[in-house]
Amino acid sequence: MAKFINIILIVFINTFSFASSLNADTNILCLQKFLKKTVFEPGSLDGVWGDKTESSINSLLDQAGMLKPNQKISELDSQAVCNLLHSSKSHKLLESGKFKVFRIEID
Amino acid sequence: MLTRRHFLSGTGAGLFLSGYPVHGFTKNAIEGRIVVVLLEGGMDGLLAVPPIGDDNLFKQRRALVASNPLKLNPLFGVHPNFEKFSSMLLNDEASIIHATSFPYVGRSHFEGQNVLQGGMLEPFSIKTGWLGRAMDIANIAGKAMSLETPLIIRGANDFDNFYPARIKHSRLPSFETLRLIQSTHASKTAKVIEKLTKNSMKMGGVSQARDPLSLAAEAGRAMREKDGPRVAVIKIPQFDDHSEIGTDTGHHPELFTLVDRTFGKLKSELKEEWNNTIVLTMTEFGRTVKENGSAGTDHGYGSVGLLAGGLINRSSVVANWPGLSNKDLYEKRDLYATIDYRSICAACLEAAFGLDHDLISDRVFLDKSIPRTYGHIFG
Repeated sequence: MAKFINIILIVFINTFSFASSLNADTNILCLQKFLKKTVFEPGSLDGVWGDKTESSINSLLDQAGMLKPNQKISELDSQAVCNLLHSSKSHKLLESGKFKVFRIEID
Repeated sequence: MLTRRHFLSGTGAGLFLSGYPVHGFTKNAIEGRIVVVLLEGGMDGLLAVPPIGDDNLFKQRRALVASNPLKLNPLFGVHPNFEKFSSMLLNDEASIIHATSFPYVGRSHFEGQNVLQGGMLEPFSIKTGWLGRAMDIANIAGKAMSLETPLIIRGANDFDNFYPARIKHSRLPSFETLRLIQSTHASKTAKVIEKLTKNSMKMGGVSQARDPLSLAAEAGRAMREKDGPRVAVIKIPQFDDHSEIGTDTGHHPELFTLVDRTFGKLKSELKEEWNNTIVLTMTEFGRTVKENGSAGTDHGYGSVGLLAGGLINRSSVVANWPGLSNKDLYEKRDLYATIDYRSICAACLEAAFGLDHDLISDRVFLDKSIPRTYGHIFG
């Protein structure tokens, strides 16, 4: 019985992984791989746009001074951001992403 | 044999002034000043700058969190004894680097001080200091106001020593006596004696006090002069609080006040030159996250670096916060250091001396992999 449950579980997990890989977006994966080199943790490298990927890429671009006021990067921007990460600005972004900067918020 | 206790008790406050400018040398026209404040014994960074937004802080060291830290942002606060430093944070002329250290995990005062002054990965692996090597590259002649030359500024190509000591009931040698001594030496030695004589006469009005505040005042006054030194090193000892470290009051908080007033004294005495200055603290290691059985903390790893000066444009806390849960600690006891403090020193050299980062990385720290943090602190 235990062996049967194990087989069912393996089949289920493999099917789930296969389905996930079908959903993987190369542009999102490109963002996540870049974020992995920084302190802005994107979570797992699955090519799926999640909360962690979104908050991390926004934090990185904000720290690098590349976001306009109130601008927020969404999944729709992933291709444009991926292009940015492969442009001449990638070095600056990587440098910016080595540490987090917590602004002083007291008045 | 020199024991740790003898070493610590024997090292008092000290001041070393160096970096007199050589005319004709300019690099990007930067005439900045650097003051290094050596916090000897290992400052407790979590007590100085508590990460109040991390719930594990209170689980791990409830008794060692000040009751009313100044909240800087959702994650970090600062001990209330850093009164002047907090004002500097508000005025965008100070910053904090947290969870940082020189890459040294051995927990020995001797080795730790050697690593942070030498700037190398291995203790006792070099006979010069990172600041001295930078002064050498920038071609800044130096002067040390100390009995001995501290390792950190060794390596400068041209410096001499002066120590403002006075023996009780003795008289300073008269100018005539010194001239007489000078006349008996060959030209090169005579020139050195002449220089020392002039300096000695100038130093006639110098305060003889050697406590950190008096030395900071002396440093500030000297460094604001047009041809004054551009580098100073001030030592504040006795951070090694294995027992009764204190929380709101007590020994460590008293030392915080001293560090705070040292920042304030430097600012008030440097006057206009404060705008061209960066002051940075350095300590050989942080202290254990948990309190020990004697109401103190033991030798640890990650700590905090305090930066102040007019060269800073925007205040911030720079950190890659590692967390304080048991699994997040170094060897299950210490705050992890996630920022190599050499990168902070490199940024300060870049800001004050105008040296290129790659040059600093390669020839000052002899390590090409040092990250450039200039933009995070001075950008």
